[in-house]
Amino acid sequence: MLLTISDLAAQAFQASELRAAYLYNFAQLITWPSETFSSPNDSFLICLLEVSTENQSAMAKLDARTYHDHPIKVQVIQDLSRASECQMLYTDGRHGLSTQRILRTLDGLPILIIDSSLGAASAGASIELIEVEGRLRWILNLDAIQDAQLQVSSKLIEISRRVIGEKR
Amino acid sequence: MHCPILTRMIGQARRALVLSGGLLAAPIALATAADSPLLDLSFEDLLQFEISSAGKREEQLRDIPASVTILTRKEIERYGWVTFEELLANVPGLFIHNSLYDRRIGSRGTLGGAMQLLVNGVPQHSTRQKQLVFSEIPLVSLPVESIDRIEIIRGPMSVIYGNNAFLGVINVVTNEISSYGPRLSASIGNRSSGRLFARAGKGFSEGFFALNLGGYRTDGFDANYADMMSPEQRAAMEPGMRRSLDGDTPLRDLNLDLSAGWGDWTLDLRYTQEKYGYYFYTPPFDEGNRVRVSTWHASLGWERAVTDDLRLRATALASSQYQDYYAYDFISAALEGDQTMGDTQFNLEFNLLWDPQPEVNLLLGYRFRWNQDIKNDVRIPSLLDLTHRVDDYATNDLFGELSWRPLQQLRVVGGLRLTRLPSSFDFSEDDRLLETQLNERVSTANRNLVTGRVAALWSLDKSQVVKLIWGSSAQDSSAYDYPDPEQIETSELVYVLTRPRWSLSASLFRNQTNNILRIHWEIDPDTGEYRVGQDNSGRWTTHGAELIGEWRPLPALNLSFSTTWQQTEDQTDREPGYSPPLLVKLKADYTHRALTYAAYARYVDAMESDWNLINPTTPGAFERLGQPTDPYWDLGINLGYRPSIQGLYASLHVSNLLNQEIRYAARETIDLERGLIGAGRRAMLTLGWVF
Repeated sequence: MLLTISDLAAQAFQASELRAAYLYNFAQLITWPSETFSSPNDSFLICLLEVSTENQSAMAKLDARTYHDHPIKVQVIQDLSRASECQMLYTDGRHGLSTQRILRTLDGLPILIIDSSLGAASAGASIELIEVEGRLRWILNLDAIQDAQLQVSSKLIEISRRVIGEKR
Repeated sequence: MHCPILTRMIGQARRALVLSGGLLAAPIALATAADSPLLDLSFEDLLQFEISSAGKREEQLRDIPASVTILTRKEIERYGWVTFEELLANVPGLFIHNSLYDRRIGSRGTLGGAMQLLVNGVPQHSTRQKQLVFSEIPLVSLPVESIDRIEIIRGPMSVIYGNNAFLGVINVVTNEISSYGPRLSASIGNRSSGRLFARAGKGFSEGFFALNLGGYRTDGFDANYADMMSPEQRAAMEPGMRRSLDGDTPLRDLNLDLSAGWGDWTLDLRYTQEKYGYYFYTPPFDEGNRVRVSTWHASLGWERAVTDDLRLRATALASSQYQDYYAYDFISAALEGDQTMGDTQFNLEFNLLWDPQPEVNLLLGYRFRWNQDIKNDVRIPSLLDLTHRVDDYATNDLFGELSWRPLQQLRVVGGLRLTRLPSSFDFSEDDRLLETQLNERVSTANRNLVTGRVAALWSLDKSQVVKLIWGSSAQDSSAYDYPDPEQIETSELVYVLTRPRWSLSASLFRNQTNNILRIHWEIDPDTGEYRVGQDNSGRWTTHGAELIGEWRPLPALNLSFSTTWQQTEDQTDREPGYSPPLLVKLKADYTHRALTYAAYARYVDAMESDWNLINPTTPGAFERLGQPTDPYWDLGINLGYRPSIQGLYASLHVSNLLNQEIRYAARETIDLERGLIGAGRRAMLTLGWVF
């Protein structure tokens, strides 16, 4: 049974659960290049890099979902060598792998890079997740997303806390 | 942006959890888990939800080797505490004693021990100094609106924090500017109370800065002196003395703190000033006694990860506290004079944090402290006109703490601190009334002061842990002629159980406090008569138990309770003063859409006052300074309105809703026999804006 918003109203959720829900919604509001999927059965791959076990557990729930009929598959990767296969890359950025290094390696690839490190969006990540007044928000880097050949829905731009760059 | 060492304690706990869970080999698909209801919601709906801190907090409650209370900004906002003093009074195990001249934080039945306050990890000025009686009001005047998070550890923590962490540590974080941004607020209440607060700052990828500025004022208490005095005290009042406290105890305070970080460097600056009125031995004749207390702190820190498992840290801290009693108004209408006291401290500390193995964490530290300009200058020409000084002196501290996890379920923590005290304290007195000068050198019997801490944490399962803790602490007393510090040893057994919707913490504790300064009758060998003497042979023994529970029966409803029972006796099996046998704290809050309804109740048991030697008709006689004060309940409510995370917010806070009479037991300078009558019902309305 689906819970309605009134049922859930005034609840507080673990940050990891909210992050997972935000990642799922980001995917629904962004379009990848047509050549990303060669067949309808191809998975939509979300990769987790240096992510806490708490966040891993929450994002595992996305495995049951789909992106435009493509089954979502969540994978933990230990380094950037396999990151080029991902459509979405999420990192907590907790253990020293800098945003700059990730961006250098994945420059130009159609990958949505979501990073919870402070200043990640300014540094070139697609989306930076931030906590504001006890709620989860994000900063959208339009330039970075468009450089990655991705298209962003206007709706996502409107509800972002801050937007870097302009829609082309 | 945290207290580095406290954060490390929490980090050790998190790493332990990672170890116990095991990182998966990668790349690997995660096992599909039960679906989340959040995944069916749109962004418009998701944006409404708050992030719960419950899971993180319960993890810390289980894994920190101490009794700890953690409050987030959200919880503080739900209850709308007006002052930091009010917030602390509602923390499990703590009570506040107000003597107008001072506010003392009591913990688990013990008053008179220092609680070390840290602001963003910076230790605030040590109030335990030779020859100085420092007010702790600067500690409790920190603006509540600046607090992003507060961690309160009960129990001796001298191993890590040195002198002043006698009863515990209070770490206040005010610089999480990226999570809690700029805001303004204004408050108004009865007794001409008011608050103004402003916060500014920004986070960057390489650093941040956060500025908090707050001011508070109130006209203080308004009881009649006759209602607080014995018949003999009333009869002794002179005709010109004021009959009511109203107007005698105003309080004005100002707090400014700036915290900034860039790369490996952090800078913290803090300035406080409090101006307030107080009672001193007799009612005043004119406008009352007034004092101005100012403190400043400047800290520069550097920290760098040399390797993945080795960090180095260095901190330089300068601080000062200065008290200016610029108006004396007691004993006689003709009395005029003032008094100033203060000192300056410089600290240099180096830390090495090393994790040689995943199960082993080591902290080593060295601190050099220099105390200078220690001066107490009294100029009341008809009474006292003298200057006391203590020559500058240095102390050196070497400390270390090891955390080891020999088994998955067992963590052992051990720490030791060696403080090298000065070989002597050089004291001088210049008495301008008697035209005498005194220079005295008091040697330190034992220069090597050792404090320690040992804890074992046994995880019964993921939600239950048993902690066995022993710790000791030391603090200086104001008496220069007793260089041996006062000491406390605490043994504690704690059981913590955390479940998704509720948690429980139960503890048994025993404190042994030694080297307490005490006055006594002694026979003068020259005259054979009794005279007042002083030594540091006082000892207290405390046994107690504490139970704390939190329950969230509905997503928007939070309930909590705590009860602390204790019994303290001195070496003559008598109860010392200011040691309430029972404390109870209850809280409940419910949030519906933009409104939060909160209520709290605080019970403080009856309290005795301290002992006093009386002019003997029977030599050796002593009695209490005053009558015991009755137990009381302080009930309060807070109604909060917050339609969105940015923009307008409002709250109405009422404390002592039932206007109960709250009395504070007599102290040396405020020996009102029936006790000081505290605040009645107080209301405060706050309007604010979050940018």
